[in-house]
Amino acid sequence: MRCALIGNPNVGKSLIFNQLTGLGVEVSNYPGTTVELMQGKLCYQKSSLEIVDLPGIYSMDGESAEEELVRTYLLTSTPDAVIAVLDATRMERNLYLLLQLAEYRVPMIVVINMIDEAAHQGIAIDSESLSSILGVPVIETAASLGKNINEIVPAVLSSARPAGITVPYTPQIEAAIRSLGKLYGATRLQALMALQGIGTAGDLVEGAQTIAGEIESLNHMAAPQIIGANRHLCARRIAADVVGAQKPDRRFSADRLLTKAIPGIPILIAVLLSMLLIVFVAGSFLEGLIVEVFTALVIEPFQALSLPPLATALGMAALLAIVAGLGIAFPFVFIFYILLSIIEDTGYLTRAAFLADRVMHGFGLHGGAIIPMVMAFGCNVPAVMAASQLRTGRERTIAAFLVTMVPCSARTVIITGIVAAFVGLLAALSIYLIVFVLIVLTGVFLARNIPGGQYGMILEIVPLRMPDPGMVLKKSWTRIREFLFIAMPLLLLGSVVLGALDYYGAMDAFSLMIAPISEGVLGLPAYATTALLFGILRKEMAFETLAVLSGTADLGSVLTAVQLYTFAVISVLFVPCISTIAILLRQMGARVTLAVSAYTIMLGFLIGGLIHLIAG
Amino acid sequence: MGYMNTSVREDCLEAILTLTQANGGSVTAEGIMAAVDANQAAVEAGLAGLVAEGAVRLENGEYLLSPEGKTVAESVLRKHRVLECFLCEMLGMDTGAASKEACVLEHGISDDTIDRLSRYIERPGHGQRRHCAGRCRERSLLDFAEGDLIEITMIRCLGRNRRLIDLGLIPGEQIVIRRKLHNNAIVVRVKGADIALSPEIASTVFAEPVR
Repeated sequence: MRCALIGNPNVGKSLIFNQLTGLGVEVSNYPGTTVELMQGKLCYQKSSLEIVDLPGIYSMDGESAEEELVRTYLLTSTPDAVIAVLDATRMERNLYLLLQLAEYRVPMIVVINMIDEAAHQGIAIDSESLSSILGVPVIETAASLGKNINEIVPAVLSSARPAGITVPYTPQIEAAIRSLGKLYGATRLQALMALQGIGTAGDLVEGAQTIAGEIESLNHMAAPQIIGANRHLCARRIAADVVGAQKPDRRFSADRLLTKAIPGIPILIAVLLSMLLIVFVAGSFLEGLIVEVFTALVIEPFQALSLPPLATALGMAALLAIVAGLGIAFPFVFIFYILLSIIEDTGYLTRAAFLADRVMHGFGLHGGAIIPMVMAFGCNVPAVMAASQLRTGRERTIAAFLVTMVPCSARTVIITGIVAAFVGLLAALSIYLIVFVLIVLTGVFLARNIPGGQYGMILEIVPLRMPDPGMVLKKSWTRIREFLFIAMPLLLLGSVVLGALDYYGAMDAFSLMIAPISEGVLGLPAYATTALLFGILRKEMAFETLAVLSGTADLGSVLTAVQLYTFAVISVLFVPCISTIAILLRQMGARVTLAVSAYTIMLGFLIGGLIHLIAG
Repeated sequence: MGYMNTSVREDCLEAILTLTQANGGSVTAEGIMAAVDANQAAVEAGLAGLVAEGAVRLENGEYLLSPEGKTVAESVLRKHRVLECFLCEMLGMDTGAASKEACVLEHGISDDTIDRLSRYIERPGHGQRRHCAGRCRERSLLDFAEGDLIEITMIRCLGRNRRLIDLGLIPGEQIVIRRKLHNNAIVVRVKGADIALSPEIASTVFAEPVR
C-alpha cells in the first residue's frame, strides 16, 4: 500500500514523515523535475506501507514546480491513500487545500497537526465535527511532541476513504461542469481543472476555455478566481463550524524586531556574518583534523607501496581529489548547511527574504532569491539548483550569474589559506569587498540589460519555531548529498585526467605556452597560472597545486604579496568550478553556462591584470 | 420620484448581489445602507418596494434575492462594471470617479448599448485591457499604514499571480497590514498567516478601510 503526505508548507509534514518512517529514507527527484520526493517504508501488523512525503503546497491548481508535481503525482501514480496534514493554527487556509484534495476522490485521512501550538493561542478545534463534515477520520497531533502520531497508520489502514464533501460553486460554474461532463465525459475534477486551463486533453481544455471566457465576460471575473473564491468561502464556513473563537494573541512576537528595517537589517547582516565566521572557524578545525588523519592513514601508506610511476601518479591524483573533497570542502559545506537548515527551520530565512527584497529588486530579482544567494556561500552547486526554481528565464539567468560569483566555502579556503596567511587579514577582507562590489555591479548591469518582466515576491512569513535537531541534520544531509554525488565524481575524474596529463608532461608544455601571458599580463610565474587551471576542478585545488608546483608550503617565500593577492583574486573570480559548470549546463542550458564562464574568466583576468598594473 | 425610486431599487439589488458574493449570505439592512449612496429613508422605501414586488425576500432580518431579483441585479451589476471599465480604462477617468459615474449611468442605459460597449471594450487589438473587476477604488495596499484593517476590493492582473488567490488574497477578504517598510515591501495578515509582498505586487491589490 502506498500513501502520500500532502499539506501546506510548514505544517510539520516532514516531521510526521520522519516519525512514521524513521531511518531508511530514500530521496529521489521526481522524473523530469528538480523537486525532491522523500520515500520511506514501514511495517504495521504485517502490512507494509510505503509513505511519500510530497512537497508542501498551497494549492492543487497552482503553477509552481511543487504544485505541478503534486498534481501530476496524484493523477498519474495515484496513491492508495492520502494523509492530509493541516495546521491547527491556520485551519481556514489549510481547509482550502483540503477541499481541493477532496475533489481528487482519493481515500484519505486528515491529520490536524500543531494542536499544542493552537492550544497556546487559545484556538479550540472540534475535530469530531470536522470528521462528520468531511466523512473521513480526523486525528489531532502534535508532531513536535510526538503526540498521537502512532494513531495515523492504523487509521490509514482501517478507515481511509474519499472525503464526502463537495464545494458548492456558483451556478455558472456548476452549469459549466455539467455541460463539460455531457460534451466531453469529463469528471467534476477534470472539468474544474479544464476551466482553469489545466489539463492535457486538448478538446476538453479548449471547450472549457470557451465557457470560461463567457463566464469571465459575464462576471468580469476570471473563472479561476470565482472557483478560488467559492472554495475559500466553503473553507470559511467549515472553519466557522469547527474552529472556536480565537482570543487575540498577546504574546510577544520577535517579529516586532526582526521584520523592521531597524534593527531587522543589522540583525540580518549579523546573522549572515556570524554564519560565515562559524563556518570558517569550525570548518578549518575539522579540515585540519580530517586532512591529518587521511594523510597518515591513506596517503602515506599508498606512497610507501612504491607502485609503478604512472599508477602512483594517477593514484595520488585520485587520493588528493578525495582528500580535497572530504577534507576541505566537506567540513565547510556541511557545517554551512547545518547553519542554513537551522535558520531555515526557525523560519528566519523568510524574514531575511522580506528584508532583502529591495536590494534584490536592484538586481532584477526579488527577496525570494536571497535563498540561493545565501546557499551559494556553502557550495554553488545546490545554489544553482535552487536558483533554477525561480519563475522567469530572466530571473534564472541573473541568479545564475550572481550565484556563481558568490565566494563558496572552497574559495574561502583560498582567501584564508593564501591571503590571510601570507599577506594579511585586511587584504583577505578586501577580496570579499572586491567580489561583493563586482556582484552588485554585475547584478545592476544585468537587471538593466536583460529583457523580460519582473515578478514580485509572494512569500509566506512562516512562524518562528524551535528547529528539531533531527530534521536539521537530515536536511543538511540531503543537501550535502548533492555535493557528494554531483561534485565528487567530477572532481575524481578531473583530477585523474589532470594527473595523467601532468605525468606525460602536458602541464609543463602548457606552462611554457602560457608563460608570456601569465608573466606579462598578470605578473605571475607560469606555474601559478597552471595552478589556476586546477582551480577549475575545485577551487581549493588551485591553492594546493600552487604549493605543489612552487615546491614549498611557505608560499610567502617564493611569491610576493602582490602576486599572492592577484592569484587569490583571480581564482576566486574566474570560472565556477567544473561541478558548477555541469550543474549550470543541466539546469540553465548551454547559452547561460557559456556566458557565465566567459564572463567570469574575463572578469578574473581583467581584475588580475588591473591589480598587476596598479600594484605590480 | 419614479426615476429616483427605480435607481435606488436597482442599487439595492446590486448591493445585495455583491454583498452575497462577498460574504456568502447574511445581507442585512445595515450592509445595504452602507453600500447604497442614498438617504436612509429612500433605501428603506426601496427595500420595502422590492420585498412587495417579490424581487427580494426578507428572512430573519437577512435579505435574499429571488430568481427574478437576481436577474435584474446581475444585469445592473454588469452594466456597472462595463461602464466603470470603459470610463476608467478607455477614457482614463480616475477609478473612484468612474465608479461614481457608472453608478448613475447604469440605471439609464439599455441592454443593447451595454452589449455593444462591452464588445467594443473587448475588441482585440485595443491594447492590453486590464481586468477591471468590481468597484475600482484608487487606494492600493501601499496607501495604508501598519495596523490598518482593510478589505480587498480588487486585484489587477490576478491571473499572473495565481498564488494570491490560493493564499486567500481575493476581493472581499479582510486583511491587516502587519508591516510596511519604507521601500513599500509589505507584510499582510491573511487567514491567520503573514504574507510578504513585493511593492509591485502590493500595488496591484486595491482595498478600502473596514469601518
